[in-house]
Amino acid sequence: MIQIKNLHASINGKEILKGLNLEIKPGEIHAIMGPNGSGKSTLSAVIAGREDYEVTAGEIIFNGKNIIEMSPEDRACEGIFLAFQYPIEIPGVSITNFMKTALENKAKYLNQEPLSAGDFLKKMKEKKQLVELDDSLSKRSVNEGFSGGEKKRNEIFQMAMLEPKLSILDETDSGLDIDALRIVANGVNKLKSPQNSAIVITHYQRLLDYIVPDFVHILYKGKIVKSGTKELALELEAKGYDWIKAEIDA
Amino acid sequence: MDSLYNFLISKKSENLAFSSTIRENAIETYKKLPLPVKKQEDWKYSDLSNLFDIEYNEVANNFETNLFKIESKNKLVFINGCLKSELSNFNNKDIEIIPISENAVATNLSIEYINKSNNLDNKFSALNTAFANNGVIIKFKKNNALSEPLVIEYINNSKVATFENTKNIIIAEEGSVSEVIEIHSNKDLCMLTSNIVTNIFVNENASIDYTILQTEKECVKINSHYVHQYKNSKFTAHTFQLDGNLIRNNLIINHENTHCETSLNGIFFPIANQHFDNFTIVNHTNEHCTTNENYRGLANDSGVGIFTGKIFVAKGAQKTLAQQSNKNIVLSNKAKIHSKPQLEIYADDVSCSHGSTTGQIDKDALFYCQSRGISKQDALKLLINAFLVTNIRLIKHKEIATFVEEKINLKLA
Repeated sequence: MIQIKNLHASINGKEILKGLNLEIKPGEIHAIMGPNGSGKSTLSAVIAGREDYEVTAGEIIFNGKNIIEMSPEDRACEGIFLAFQYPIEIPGVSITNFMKTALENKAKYLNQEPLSAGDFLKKMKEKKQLVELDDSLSKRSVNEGFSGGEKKRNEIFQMAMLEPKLSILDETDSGLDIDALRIVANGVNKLKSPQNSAIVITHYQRLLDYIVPDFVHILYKGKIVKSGTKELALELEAKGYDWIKAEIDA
Repeated sequence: MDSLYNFLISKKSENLAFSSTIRENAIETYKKLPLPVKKQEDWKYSDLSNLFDIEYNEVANNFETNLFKIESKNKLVFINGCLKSELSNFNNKDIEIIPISENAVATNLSIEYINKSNNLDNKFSALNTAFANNGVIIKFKKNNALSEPLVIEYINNSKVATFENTKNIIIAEEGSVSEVIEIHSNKDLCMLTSNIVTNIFVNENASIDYTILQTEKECVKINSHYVHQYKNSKFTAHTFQLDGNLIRNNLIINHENTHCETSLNGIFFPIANQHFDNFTIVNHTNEHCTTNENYRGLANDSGVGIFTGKIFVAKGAQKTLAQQSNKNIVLSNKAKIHSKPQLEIYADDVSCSHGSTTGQIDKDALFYCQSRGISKQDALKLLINAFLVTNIRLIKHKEIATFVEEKINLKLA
C-alpha cells in the first residue's frame, strides 16, 4: 500500500522528520505514538501533501507511484485521506455541497461518471447513519459551530464518503468523550476491509482498545525508534516515554 | 488647460436639463471646486484629475448589442449616454417617462425636486448639472406595484475619446413598489467617459429595489446616485462592479423623514489594471431610520478596489440603527484594497456598528478542500462563493445572481 523510505521533511528550514521508514500492507492498521513534538502530525501532513512542508530527502511510494511531487488533491483522488486533528471550519459551504464537489472532482480524476443526484443523496444518508451524524448537520456549513465530537464524526463521515485506500487519523481521539470515541471507532471499524489500510496517530492507548492495530510504532525525534504489536502500546501506557527516550538518547 | 470644460462648453447642446440660471451657477461652482486629486479626502484613492486633460471629440451614437440582457416590458436604452427612444419601451399603466429638457424640468418637477437634483458637491456633479442634456424623468405611479422591473441599459461603443453627461431623475410616488436594474455592459473597447447622475426620490411608503450591474470593457465611468428617502420608505441598492476600466460609484443617501430603511449591498472585483471605487454616504438626519450596509471586495493581479462608507448620524436622529460591514480578500501580491469605514455619531440613543477586514484566502481551508480531492481552482471558487453568498442571496433575480456568480468564477479561473 504505502512505503515510506528515509523520509526527511522540514518546515521553515527546521527539520522535523529525519529519515523515517514505514511500510504498510493492504488491510493493516498501524498505530503511531510518540511524545509531543516528535513529528506525528508532520508525518500525516507530509503524506497528505501539505505544501508548507518541504521534503528534502526520501520517497513515499503509494500503490507503486512516488507521490512526493503530487498535489494534495491528486493524492486524495489516488485514495489517501487525512482526518484532521483540528477540522477546519468553512463558513458558507454546506457539507452536502462540499461532498458533492469532492466526489465530482474524484470521479473526474478517475475518469468515472459522477454519481447521480439520487445515488449521491442515498450515499450521504447511509454514511451519516454510520457515524450517527445528525441529518440537519449536512445542511449547515462545514464544521461551523460544530462541537468537538461533531467535527470528528464529520471527518469519519467524509472518510466513508470518499472511500479511501489509506486513511490517516491524526489524533482523532483528542477532545472526544467516551461515547463519541466509541461512535468514531465504530465507524472506522465498519469501513475496515482487507484492501484498506489505516494509520492511527494517537497519544493514548485508550483509542487502541476500540481500533485494534496490527502494529504499533513509536516516533521520536523524527524517526521510528521502536515497533511492535499492540502490547507495545500497553507498555507505553504503563511506563510512559522516558524509558524509550533514555534508550535512544543514550 | 481644462480641455474637458472647453469641449463641453463648445459642444452644441440642445435640451439641456436645467434652466440657464441653475446652469450658470453650476459653471461658477465648477470653476471653484477643487480637482479630484489625492489630496482631496473623498478622492484619496482615485485621482481622476487626468480626465480633465484629455482631448475629447463628439461621437455618433450607433447601436451595438450588449453582453447581458434582462427581458422586461419596461426598458430604457442609452447609447453613449444618449437615450434611444426607438429601442426603449415601457408600460404606461405603471410608469410615466418624460425626456429631460429645460422645459420638462421646469414644468414637471416641483421646486423641491429641482433643488435636490442640481448637485454641486464635486466637479463631476457640477459639470453634470451644467451640461446634462440626456436623460429622463421617471415616475413610478402612486400606490402601484410595478409588474416588471424597469431596465436601464447603458451601452457604450465610442471609438473616439468623448465625454457625456447623462441625468436621470426617478420619482417613486407615495406607496409605489418598484424595481430598477441598471446594466452597464458593452462588448467592445470603448473610449467614452460617462458622467451619469441619477437622482432618486423615494416618497412616503414607497420602496425601490435598485441594482447596478457593471460589466463592461475599458470604460471610464463616474456613476452617481443621490437618493432622498421620505417617511416609511425603503431603498435597497445592489452594486456589482464586475468589469470596466475605471469606475467610481457615488451613492449618497439622505433620510428626509423618519422610519426610512436603507440597505446597501455590494460586490467589487477588480483584476488586471481595473480600478473600482465605491464611495457611499448615508445621512441619518431623522429618527427611527435603519441602514444595513454590506460590501465585499476581491482583488487579483494589479487590481485596485476601494470602499469608503460614511454613515452620519445627526444630533436629532435618535433610535438610529446602522450597521456597516466591509470584508475583502486580496488574491495576489500586487492587488490592493483600500477600506475606509466611517461612523460619525452626534445622537446619544442609537445602535451603530461598523467593521472592516482585509485578508488573504484561508490557506488551511484551501488545504482542507484539497485533501478531499477538490482541485485548488475549484476549492478557490468554493471558498470565494461562500465568502460572497450572503450578498448574492440578497439578489432578487435569479438570472442576475447566476450572472454575477458565473462572472466571478470566470475571473477566478
